Amino acid sequence: MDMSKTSTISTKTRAEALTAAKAAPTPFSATGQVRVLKSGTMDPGKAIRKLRDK
Amino acid sequence: VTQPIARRYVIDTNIAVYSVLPPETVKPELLEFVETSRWFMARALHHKVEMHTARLMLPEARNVIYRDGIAQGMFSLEDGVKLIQSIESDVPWTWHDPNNQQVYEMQRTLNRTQSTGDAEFLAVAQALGCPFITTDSKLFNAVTQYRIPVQVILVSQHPWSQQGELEDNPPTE
Repeated sequence: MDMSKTSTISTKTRAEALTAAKAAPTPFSATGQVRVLKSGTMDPGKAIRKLRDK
Repeated sequence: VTQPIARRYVIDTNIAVYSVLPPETVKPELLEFVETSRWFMARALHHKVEMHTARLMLPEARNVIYRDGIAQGMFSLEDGVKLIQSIESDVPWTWHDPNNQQVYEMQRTLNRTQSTGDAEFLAVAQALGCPFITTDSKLFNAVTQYRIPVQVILVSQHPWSQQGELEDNPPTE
């Protein structure tokens, strides 16, 4: 299996997804003021689900 | 058949949190939720529809932003405060404390023994007779399974979640 090809496709898709998410307008003024110190691990949907499944 | 677009919605915590988070902090495979939630919220504001939510939304959002954001070193405490204050203040929310009996009856209908969180939001939507917007497919499926008399819409299925112009798809009902 050509892993480099898979990786390239995957990376490109994620980059496109990030671009689309950043391009979407947000009503929340704080979003653009936050300095991101670490990236890519938050899963708010799962976190809220966990709160409600307790 | 084009789905009618309502003039008021009950909005789930996950929509607010996905909308406010810097996209770089979210798992790459979940970025679609950031994009669709942002578009939905931006259009809801543009079209000046009523935006309702349960009072539980703020503590839930505060919990997630602290536990998964601040405590994990994604951003500083000060920036986490900015995010939660933004959720609280930047949208003209109408906050609701749902009727106790409605919450308990909803919880029983959902056949749940856990936290009443889902029932809080669904009870508000039932009382107002308006759609409930969420990213949570598990909740969507539960509402279908137990025939809950509330219209639940996954955000990605609402026309406002798609790319385009803000003025696209004004309310129709």
